[in-house]
Amino acid sequence: MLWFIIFSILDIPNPMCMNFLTHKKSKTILVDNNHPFSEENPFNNLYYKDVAKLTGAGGWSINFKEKKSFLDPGARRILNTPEDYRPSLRTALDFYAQEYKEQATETFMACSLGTPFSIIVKMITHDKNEFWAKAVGRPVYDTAGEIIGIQGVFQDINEEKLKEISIENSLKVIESQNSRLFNFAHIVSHNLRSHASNLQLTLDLLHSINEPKEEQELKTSLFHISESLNETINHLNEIVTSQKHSLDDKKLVNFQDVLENISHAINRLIESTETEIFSDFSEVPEIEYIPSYLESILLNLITNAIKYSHPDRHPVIDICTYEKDGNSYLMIKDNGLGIDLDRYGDRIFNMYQTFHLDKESIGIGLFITKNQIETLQGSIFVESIVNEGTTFTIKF
Amino acid sequence: MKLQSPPIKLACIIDDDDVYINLIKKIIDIKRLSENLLVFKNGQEALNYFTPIMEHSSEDSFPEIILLDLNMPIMDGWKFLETFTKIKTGKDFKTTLYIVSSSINPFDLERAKEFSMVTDYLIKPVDINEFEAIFNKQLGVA
Repeated sequence: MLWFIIFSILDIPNPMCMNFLTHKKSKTILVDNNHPFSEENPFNNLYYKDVAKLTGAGGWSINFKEKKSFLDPGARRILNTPEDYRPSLRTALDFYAQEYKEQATETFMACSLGTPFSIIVKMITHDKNEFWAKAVGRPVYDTAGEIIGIQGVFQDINEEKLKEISIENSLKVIESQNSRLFNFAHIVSHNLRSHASNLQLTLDLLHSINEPKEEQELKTSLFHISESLNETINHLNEIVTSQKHSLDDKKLVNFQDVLENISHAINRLIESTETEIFSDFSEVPEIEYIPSYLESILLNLITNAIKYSHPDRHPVIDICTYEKDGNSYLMIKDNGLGIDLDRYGDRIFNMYQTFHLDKESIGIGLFITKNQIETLQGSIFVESIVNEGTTFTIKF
Repeated sequence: MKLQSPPIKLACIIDDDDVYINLIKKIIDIKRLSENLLVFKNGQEALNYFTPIMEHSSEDSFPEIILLDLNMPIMDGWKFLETFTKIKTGKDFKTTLYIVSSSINPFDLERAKEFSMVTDYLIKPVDINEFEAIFNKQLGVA
């Protein structure tokens, strides 16, 4: 036997039935007596309980006319409300995390004007625990087609969402490690290939000539190739070593201590070049970081500043830390030669890029520095004016 | 080996690897591939030479073949290609340019295709026979 139930949703005593309203303006729903959704069905209650338990879902509704809000037992369980808790429109927003309050307000406003929604938001239980929820909602119409309220269901998806976020994060880390590895592989291949190429050419030539003087010259070039090859391998080792520490534990590192260690280590260089170093770490005196990285970063930038100092003046290096928008920064500024960034901008952090005709320049310092900073999710920026100086800024 | 006049008059190498330059010099010498050879240690040095020549249209002092390395200090091969393409526009200099690099990075190989003046991308090591072939091909073109 069929029952035709014509109802305005908010007249229904069992609010779970509200969920079967479509958002079409037709409010006629055909319900079979034997259908588990039917009010008359004795399994009704159990059925909903099971569905709610299985999906971790809860229902809610707001009746604009009667100014009443409703939370079903599932919703109360998820939100961990006390027995006597009475939902109200005024406090509804309290269940949404601070950063989602605006979105929630907009969504509910739009819904009350007729737009159904399906969103993923961070919510807060009555006892102030944050969790991720999937929520759907739609307007409720009366027989005249007027919107008289909104209703919906939300589901606690915290576990799944947290897993998803953690997977996303691991993916990011793996992606960046992968891209660094790829670059490194190319660097290794490129650098070894140069020497292999020279070696092959030399041997080719040795085969095709038989003049003792030429032969002697070619043998000398073999020595040069071997030397350069060793040097390259040392550089590659240096990079591998610099990345090895990325698994070390972060510790609270004091900037002043690190600077003092470095100044001590390169004391001779500082004295012989009459370098002056000024520092102010008062705003951010220490930071959670891998100690060997911070030491290596500062050492590289300071020795660079000294190496590329201006011939007309002694090097002056200003180092300071500061905080902006919740991030810690380290700034290191010199009065050296400067770099023409319009020309070299995108290349200064690349490997084997040198911009001054200096025999001692190898071009791996900034490459390593950038790598170390990015390994710990930071970034490095450079500003420079030729003949005036260079400023490196690190965002931790 | 029969002595014949070299296939070309002037060749040019832009590369910062001293060992490699010396080896190429020897190959060109022994195989008599070019009468003269210009050597520049980076893109900037090469441009300093080419720019006035192009302005004065002295084609005799313009190399028929250029072997360009990519990774060099001061000005790398890419920047050289960009600048060189600009100043060469509208001027009719016959020159064949080869990139000769140790980089097998697909990104570099793709990027090389963007420059119409690049005849080919040769990956080091390039052996003596290949060099000979490049220079002799030049003869065929001219």
